[in-house]
Amino acid sequence: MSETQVIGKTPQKAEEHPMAKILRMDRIPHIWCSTCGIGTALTSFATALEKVNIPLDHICVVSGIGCSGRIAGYVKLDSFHSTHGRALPFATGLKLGNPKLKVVVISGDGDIAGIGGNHLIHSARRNMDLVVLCINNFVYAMTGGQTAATTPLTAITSTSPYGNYERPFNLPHLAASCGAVYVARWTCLHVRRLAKSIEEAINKKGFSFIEIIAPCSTIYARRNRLGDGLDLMKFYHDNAIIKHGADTRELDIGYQDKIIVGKFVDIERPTFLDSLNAWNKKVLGEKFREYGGPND
Amino acid sequence: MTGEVFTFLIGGKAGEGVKKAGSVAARLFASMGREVFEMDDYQSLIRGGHNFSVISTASRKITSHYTRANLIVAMDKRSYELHKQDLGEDGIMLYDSEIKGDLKGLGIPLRAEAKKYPNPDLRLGLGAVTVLAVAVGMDKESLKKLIQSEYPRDLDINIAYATTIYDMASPEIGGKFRLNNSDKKRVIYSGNEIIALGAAAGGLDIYYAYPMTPSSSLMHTLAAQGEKLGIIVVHPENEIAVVNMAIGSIFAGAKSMVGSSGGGFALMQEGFSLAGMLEAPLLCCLASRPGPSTGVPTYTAQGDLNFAIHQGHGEFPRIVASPGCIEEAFYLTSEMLDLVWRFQTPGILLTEKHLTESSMTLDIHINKAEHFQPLMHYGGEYKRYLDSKDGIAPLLFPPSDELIKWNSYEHDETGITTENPELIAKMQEKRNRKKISLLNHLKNKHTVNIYGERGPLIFTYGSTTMSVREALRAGDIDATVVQPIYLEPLPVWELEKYKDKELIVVEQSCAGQFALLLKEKAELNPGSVIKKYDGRPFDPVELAIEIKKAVSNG
Ligand code: SF4
Repeated sequence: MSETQVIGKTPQKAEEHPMAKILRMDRIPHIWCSTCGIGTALTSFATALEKVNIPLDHICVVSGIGCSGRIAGYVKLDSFHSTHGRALPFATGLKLGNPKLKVVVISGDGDIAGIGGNHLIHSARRNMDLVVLCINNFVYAMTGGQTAATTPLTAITSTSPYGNYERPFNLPHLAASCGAVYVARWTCLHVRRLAKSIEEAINKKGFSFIEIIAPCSTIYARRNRLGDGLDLMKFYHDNAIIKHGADTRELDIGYQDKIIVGKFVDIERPTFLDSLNAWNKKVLGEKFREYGGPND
Repeated sequence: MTGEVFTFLIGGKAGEGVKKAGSVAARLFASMGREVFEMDDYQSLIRGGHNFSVISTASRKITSHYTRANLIVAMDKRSYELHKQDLGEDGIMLYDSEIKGDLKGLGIPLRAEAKKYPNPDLRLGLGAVTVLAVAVGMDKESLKKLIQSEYPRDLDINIAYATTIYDMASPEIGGKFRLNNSDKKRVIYSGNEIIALGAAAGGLDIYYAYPMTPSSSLMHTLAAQGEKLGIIVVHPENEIAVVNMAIGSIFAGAKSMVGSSGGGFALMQEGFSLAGMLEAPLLCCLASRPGPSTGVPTYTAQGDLNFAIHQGHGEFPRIVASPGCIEEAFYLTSEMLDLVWRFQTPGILLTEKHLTESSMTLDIHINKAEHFQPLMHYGGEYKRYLDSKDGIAPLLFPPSDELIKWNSYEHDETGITTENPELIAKMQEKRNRKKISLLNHLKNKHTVNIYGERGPLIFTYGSTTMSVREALRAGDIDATVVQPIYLEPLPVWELEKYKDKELIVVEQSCAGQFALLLKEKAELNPGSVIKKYDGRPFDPVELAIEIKKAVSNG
C-alpha cells in the first residue's frame, strides 16, 4: 500500500454538462454577454426538451437575426438560421413540408414583432402548429441598441436619446387577439415556470406564443443605467406579478414598472392543417387524400 | 391577307363573358382538328372595362393571333368603335342590335333574346359563340354538344337561346366561312396551365404565391387541379412570406415553387438571395407585365430581363430560362425544377403575360419531362456544405440522426456561422464552383432553339419567339430564328458562330435589354433592334413588314 493513498471517493471523469444532450459543447463559449437573458431562456428550453416525449430528431429550431438568432447554432438539433424577420414563414413552410416535425421558433422581439410582425399575426391567425419563444429585451441589441416595437415609453435607446415616445406592443395581447391557442409570459428569473410553459407549448397543438422578458445587460440596461445583472434579476423579483389567466388587454409593460407574468391563454382550435384536411374532406368526400406532407 | 388563317374577334364589357366565349371559340376550332392561338386582352377592372379575345386558327401550326379579323362580334358600342378598323377584307362585322348609331355590318339581337331569360349578361358570350358556329357552318348537333360541355349551367335555357340565335343568323351568314376540318385530336392549354402541368411532371409538391397578374392564373390552376396533381397551394400574407415558406418546405425536402410578377418578385429578392446562400433549390416563375411599379397589370412586356438575371444580392449561381412557346413552357418548367435541385441554387422561369395568359393547341409528352432525384447523404457525419469538387453537397432532410444546419450567415461546412476570412473565401469559391458545374452540364443540353436554315438571322427570346415565327409565315420570309432558352448563364458557346454576322433582334423592351445582353455576354452585334413596348404583343403581319424593312436596311 503506498502512502499516497487517496482518501475518500476516487474522482470520476469530469461530469457531463447537464445540457450536453441539447447543446453543442464544441461551440461553447457562446457569444452572449455574461448576464444576458438569452442563455437563461435557452436553458429553460433545454430543460423542457428533456421532459417532452418527442424524439430530438423530430424537433427543428428556427431562429431569426439578432443576438437570440444565434441559438440555432448552439443546439444539437436540426436548425435553420433565417434572415431578419423571416423565422415564422420559414417555420411555416417547414411544417407544411413535413407536418411530423415539431418546429420551434426562437427569436427576438425585433425579429418577431418588428420586421416580422406581419408574419406573426398571420401565423397566429392560421393557427400554424408552431411554438414561438419570443425573447423580449426591449431593444434591438445586436444592431446597435435602437428603439424596438417593444421598447417601453420613456426608455432611452440609441434612436431615442431623450426617451421613447412610441407606444410599444403588448405582445401576449397581440398574439392572443390574432388567434394563438397558448399564450404565456415569463421573465428570465422564472426559469422553472418558463421551462414548464415551454414544455406545455411543445406538447400543445397549434400556435403557442411565449414572451420571455430577458435582460440585455450590455445595451438596454447600461444605456438606461439599470445596474448590473444581479440588479436586473432583483428588479424582476420585486416587480413581476404572477397572474394566470390575466386579461391580455392589461399586460402592457411600462418603463421600470410592474410586469404581469403567467399563462394567459390555453384553448383548443383546429390548426391550419387540421382545417385544410377537415374542410376538404367534407367537401370532396372520400376521394380527398388527407395531406400529411409530400413524403407521407 | 394571311391565306389560310381565320381570325375571330369578340369584344364586350368586362363581366359579359367575353373571355369565356373566347376560350370556347378556341375549343370550337380545336374540335375541328385545327391549330389555334388565342390572345385575351382585358383591363385591370372587374366590371365595365373593355375586354376582347382574338382567336386565330389555321390548318398548320400557328403561334400568334392576328389583328385583322374575318369575323367580329361586338357586344357593345365601344367594342364596335375600337375594332371596326380590325375588320379584314371580306370580313363580317356582327354587333348586338341594341347598339345605336350609323353602323356597318349586321345586327343580331343577342341581348334582346337573352333578356327573355334570367341573368341575360350570362348568355351574351354564348350568343357570340353561336354566331361563330353558324358562320363556320357548324351543325346544330355539334353546337349542342359544345354547349353541353362548355355552358352546362342552365343547360336548357342555353340550348334554347342558342337555337334562337342560330336560326336568326343562319339565313344571313350560314356557312360564310368554310374552314378545313381534320380528324386530329387537339388539346389546347394556356401558358399558366401548361406551366402547372410541367411543374407537376417535374415533381412539384407545394406551390406558394401571392396574387399578381399575369401570374395568378397559375395559382388558380394549381388550386383547382392540385388535388388531382398531388400539389398543395398556399397563399400567405405577402411575397416575403411566400419565398420564405417555400424555402422552409425545401428544408423539409419538399419540391417547392413560387410565382409572381415584377412587383411581387421584387419583394422576394431577399429570399432569393437567401436561397443562394442556403443553396436551396428554389424555383420561381416570373410572369412579366409592363413596369415599373404597378405598371400595366394585364398587358405584356419583356422589361424584367435584367431584373431576372441579376435577381438577389450577393454572388451565387442563378439559373434563368425563358420558354419560346407554350409547348416549351411545359418541358422547361420540369427541366428548371431538375436544374435547381441538381445544382441546389435558385432559378427563375422567366415568361410574359403573352405566354402565361394566351392559349394554343399543342402536343405534350409527359414522359419527356425531367424529374430529378436529388443527391442525398447516406451514412456518416453530415456536412450540409461539404466543400466538394463540383461544389455540390449531398442533401439530408429532418428527421435524421445527423445534425442538419442551414444558415443565412456565411457558414462553415457544417452550417455554423463564421467570420473567418479563409472560410468565407472557401465558401464563396464552393458556390462559385457550382456555376462551373452548371455550365458544363448545360453545354450538353439543348439551350438554344434555332428555326430555319437560311436567310437573315433574327434573335429573339421568350413569348416574342411565337410572334416572330408567325411573322415569318405571315410575310413568307425565309429567315433563321435564334432563340436562347437560357438567359443566365447565357449559352455563349452556342452563339459564338454568330459573332461576325449581321443580325436583327426582336424584343418587347424599350431599352433593348436583350440586344444589350447579346452584345455584352456573347459579343454579338445586333444591327437593328425591333422593339415594342406598348403592352401589346406584336401582330405578325406588322412585324413581318418591320422585319422586311430591317433586312433591306441591313
Ligand atoms: S447585447 Fe444584450 S441581448 Fe445581445 S448578447 Fe449582449 S446582453 Fe444579450
